[in-house]
Order: sequence, then C-alpha cells, then structure tokens
Amino acid sequence: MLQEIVQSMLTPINLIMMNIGLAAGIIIGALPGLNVIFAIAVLLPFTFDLDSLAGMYLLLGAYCGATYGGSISAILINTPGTPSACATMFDGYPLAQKGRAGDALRAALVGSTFGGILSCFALMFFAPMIAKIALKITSPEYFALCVFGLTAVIGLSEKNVIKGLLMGMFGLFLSTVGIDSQEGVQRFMFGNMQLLGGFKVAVVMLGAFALSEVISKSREVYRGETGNANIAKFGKSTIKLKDILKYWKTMIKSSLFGIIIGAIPGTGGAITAMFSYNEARRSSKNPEKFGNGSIEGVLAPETGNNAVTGATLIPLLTLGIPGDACVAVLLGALTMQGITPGISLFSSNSIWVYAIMGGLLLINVFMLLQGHLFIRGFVNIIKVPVIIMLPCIVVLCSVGSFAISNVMFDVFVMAAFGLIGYAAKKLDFPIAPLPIGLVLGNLTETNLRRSLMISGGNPLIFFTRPISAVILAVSFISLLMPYIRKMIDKKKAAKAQAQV
Amino acid sequence: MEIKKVRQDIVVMAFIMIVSALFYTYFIPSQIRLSSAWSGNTSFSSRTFPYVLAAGMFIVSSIGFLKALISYIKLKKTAETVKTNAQEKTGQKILEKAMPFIIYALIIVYIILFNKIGFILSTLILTPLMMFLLRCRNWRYYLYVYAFEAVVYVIFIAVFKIPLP
Repeated sequence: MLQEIVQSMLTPINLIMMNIGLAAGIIIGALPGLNVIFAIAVLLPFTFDLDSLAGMYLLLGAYCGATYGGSISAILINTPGTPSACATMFDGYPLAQKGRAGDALRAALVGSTFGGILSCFALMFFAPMIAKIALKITSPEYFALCVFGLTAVIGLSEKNVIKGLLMGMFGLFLSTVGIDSQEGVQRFMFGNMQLLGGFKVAVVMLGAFALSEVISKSREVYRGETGNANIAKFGKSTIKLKDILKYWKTMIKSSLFGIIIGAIPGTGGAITAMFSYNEARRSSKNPEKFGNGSIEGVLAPETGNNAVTGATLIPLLTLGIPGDACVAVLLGALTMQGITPGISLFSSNSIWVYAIMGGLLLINVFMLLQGHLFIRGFVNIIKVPVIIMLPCIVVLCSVGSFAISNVMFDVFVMAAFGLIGYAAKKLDFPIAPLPIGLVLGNLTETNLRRSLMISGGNPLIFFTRPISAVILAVSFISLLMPYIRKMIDKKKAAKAQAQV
Repeated sequence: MEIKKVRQDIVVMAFIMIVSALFYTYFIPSQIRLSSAWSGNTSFSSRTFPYVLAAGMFIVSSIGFLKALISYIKLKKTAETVKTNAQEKTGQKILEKAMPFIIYALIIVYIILFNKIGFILSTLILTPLMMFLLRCRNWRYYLYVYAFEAVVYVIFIAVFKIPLP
C-alpha cells in the first residue's frame, strides 16, 4: 500500500502542481490585501481539468505557500500579507529595519516549514482515528457538527456576530437553490434551467473573494494609494540554521498550538499566530527583546500559523466539515472532482486520502526549498503594482468561471457575487460564513431531515442525545463568545478604574 | 462617520427583514411545489429548511435592526451640535467614489462582449480600457497584462482544451 501511495504521489504532474501552487501561493500571500482564500479561489479554475490529486496538490500548495508568503510583506513593509502574519510584523519589521530582513525571512521560512511538517504528522495520526470515531456518529450529531462548523466561523466575526449569522444563513439559503436531492423538487429556480444543479461553489468563491477584491481595490488604485513606498532593504541572511533551531522548544510549542487550535472549526492561523507569539514572549528568557527585533518573535507566530494547515484538514477529511473559509474552497474543489470527504473516504478510497497527506508533507519540504532558493524573487513581487493585477484577476475570474461548465451563465453569476462580496465588505458583513454555509447547506439539511424523520418530527432529539446536545451548547457559546469577551473586558476596565 | 454607519445598518437590516418576509410568505410557496409523493407523509418537506432559514433571517435581522436603532438614538443624543464644514465635493472626488461602480460596469460590459465577440477581442479592448481609467500611463504595464492574458489563453485552450468563446 505504501508503494502505491508513493507512486501516486510522485508523478511529474503532481510534483509540478505542488510547486506551481506553492509559488503562486507565496506570491499572492506576499501581496498585501490578498489573502489565502483569494490564492485558492484564483487557482481553482486550473484544477477543473486536472486529476483530483494534482488539483488538490495545486490548491494545498497555494494554501501553505500563501500562509507563509504573508510573512514577507509583514517583515519588509510592516503590512501583513495575510491576517495570520499580523504577529510576525511585531518583530519581523524591527529586524528588517536593523538590516536583518534576510534573517527574519529565513526564520519565518524555517518556522513555517517546521510547523507545516508537524501538522502533517498530526493529520496522518489523528485523521484515521477520528474517522473511526466518526463511524459511530448519527444524523443528530452530524447536524450538530454542521451547526458548530458554521457558528464557530461566525463567532469569529467579533463585533459583527449578527451580520456573520446573516451571511451564514444566506450561504445556507443559496445551497437550497436547484433540485432537492431528497424529493426531486425544484427550488428557487425562477424558470432558469441553468440553476438545476444549484450554485457552484467555485463560481461563488471567484466572485465573492476575487472579483470583489478588484472592485474594492479600484478606488485605492485610482487614488494612487497602492505603492509600497517603505520597503525595507533586503539584507542577505547571515543567521545559521543552528541559531534558529536553538529555539526548538518555542517551535514545538507553537506547532502544538497550531495543531490543536487549527483542528477546531472556526479558528485559523491568525489566532494561533497571536497565541503562539504571546506564549513565546511569556516564557522567553529575554521577553524585553520581543517587539524590538527578536528572531524568536518571528519564529513563534510563523510556526504556529503554518501548523494550522494540516490540522484544518482533519475535520474536512474525516467529517466533511470545513474548519474555515479556505478549507471550504478546498471542499468545493473536492466536490467538483466528484470526491465526497467524510468517513467513506477512509474506507473506500484510502490510497487517495493518504496520498493527500503525504503530498502535504512534500509540499512543506518544497516550500523550504523554494523559499531558500527564490526568496529574492519573491521579495521583488511586493514591488509589482496592483494596477497590473486587477485586469489579470478579471480575466482569470471570467475564464475560470466559464471553464467550469462551458456556460456564460456561470460568468454572470460570478459577476453578481462579485458585487455581493463588494457590498458585504462595504457594509462590514464578514464573507467567510458565506462559503461555509454554501458547502455545509446540503449536509445540514439532509441530517436535519433524517433526524426529524427518526424522531417523528420532534426537534428535541437534538437535545436528548448527549453528544449533539453538548455540540449544540458549544455552538451557542461560541456565538456568544464575542459578547462574553466584551463583558469581561468591561468588568476588567471598571475594576482597573476603581483601583485608580 | 459612526452615525452614518449605524444609519446604513438600519437600512440594510430593514431590507433583509423585508426580503426574508417576502421569501417566507411568497417565494417559498410559489417556487417550491411540494412533491405529491412526499407531502403529508413526513414532517419535513422541501420547504421546511428554506422556511426555517427565512424565519431565522427575519428574526436575526430584526434584532440587528433594533440594535442599530438603539445605537442611532444614543448617538443622536450625544452627537455634537456643531456642524463641521461639509467636505468639498470636487469632480475628482466624485469620480473617485464612483470608480468601483465604473469598474464593475466595465466588467459587465467585458462579460457581455466576451460572449458576443469572443475572448480575444473583448480582452484586447476592455483590459487596457480598465487600466487607462485607473490612470495607468506606463505602456509597459499594458504589455505585461497582455502577456499574462496570452498565457491564460494558451493554458485554457491548449492545455485544458476548453473552447473559450
């Protein structure tokens, strides 16, 4: 079996796709304002005609690459390329100002690779175990898990929980368009037969994440606000590997944070990076160096945020539940390839699933190589004017959405979601719950329907079964989390004021 | 600025309330015809899930509406009475504000032309127009974009064998 897995992984096309995905991901991640979801959404059209493994390698490469790429602009221009690189800025930029940008970039690369590889091992170890447990999960628990997947992402919307909830419901609503798979009834088709199969996740993603970015960036470009004037000078790296690896404890700790936090739906790299940074500072022998250019301060968040990449695939591959919007796009790509993630993947198609895990490991190794060999080239990417990128994205989105089924209707749908995505941004609606709702919609409805059929229409079934009741309670708490946090902060502030 | 945002929220939440109510009362019954084989046999039909969602959206948007309304009243009370000078609206500023919509309109024109005159011609015409509107005056940038588009074309036509219009 091992031989078969290795053989399926190491074909020339797979290796090429891993590297193309990585390079594209690093480039997109390095560009401020373009995030990991954007990288995956833009590369999605290229996977339609690829074999499922090659397609997934391309997207996984982009996922890992963009997560690491965010550190490049954080270090050189004090602007995180992706939200997960925010904490990297605290020490990366001060290091760059001291002429040690090369050292900071190398530390980020080593940390990212280390975290990514450890995360892969966690995926290999835990996924089959969880898949076995998942076999015992029945419809009410599955429904509760779907609700948790959605609420966890919404709970992250901080002050916009209501808007996040509305976006999530909108996503679920969109999933009902087309033929109802259970009864064969047409829903919300408004006489348009193109909607028979419902909205395609890839089309919605391209519009809501990529095209909306073009629309919102156009104003900045027109104002001439896109030049990165304060790029720190790229000093060659002089730091030795052993000087980085002496912080092995921080790297292992950050990786563990990444794995644990990443496996929980709705979390993600940004939280992990911040958590890892704070913990590294707290436990450091030289906490005063943090914030003034500490290598450890770059290593901790970068290790943590890349350690999320493998862990987020655990709920995806075992339960079919995406942990965040990036993984929701991956789920969309898988569905288009005819692959249904979940327990069945481990029983019926185990070579494929282990090839994915092995491929992820290889991608991290390639990331180290690419980062080492081409870092100067990637640094120059930051200088690419956004004005060049905007028309390229429009063309890619149009061609990409057309290529899905060779129909113009999809291109118009993509354009419509571009406007919806832009409006959502302008009105402070988080976009991430939309794809999660869209991809979870069918699973949620099917399990809700099955559960109610079992109980004869009694919704109490979700609360009388202990596992589903606990999951639903956690979902409810995660929704209230921003409010609870706000109350705690208020109390703390009042206490501090009283003491003064 | 804050008060403007809150006002915006009131309008958006009211809009969502109206749309979800419309879906609940009109669109769901008219757009989902119940299957005769299933209706009556189960407590869950094809309409149930959309009904739950429409009701949920109505409730959540109502909460959002009330929250925004309360914030608006509070802000109105505390708002300074001194009026600041209205920002001068020059032609340039108006154009800047309208730019996202101009670009979006251009994208729609591109998609229509994409269907009517094909990928090559529409791309040759529309992308430089977009760059020109965004005040790009460096001719090299136009060449870079054309080069990228050529690569995309070759990949989709020659490698993926997708017949673009």
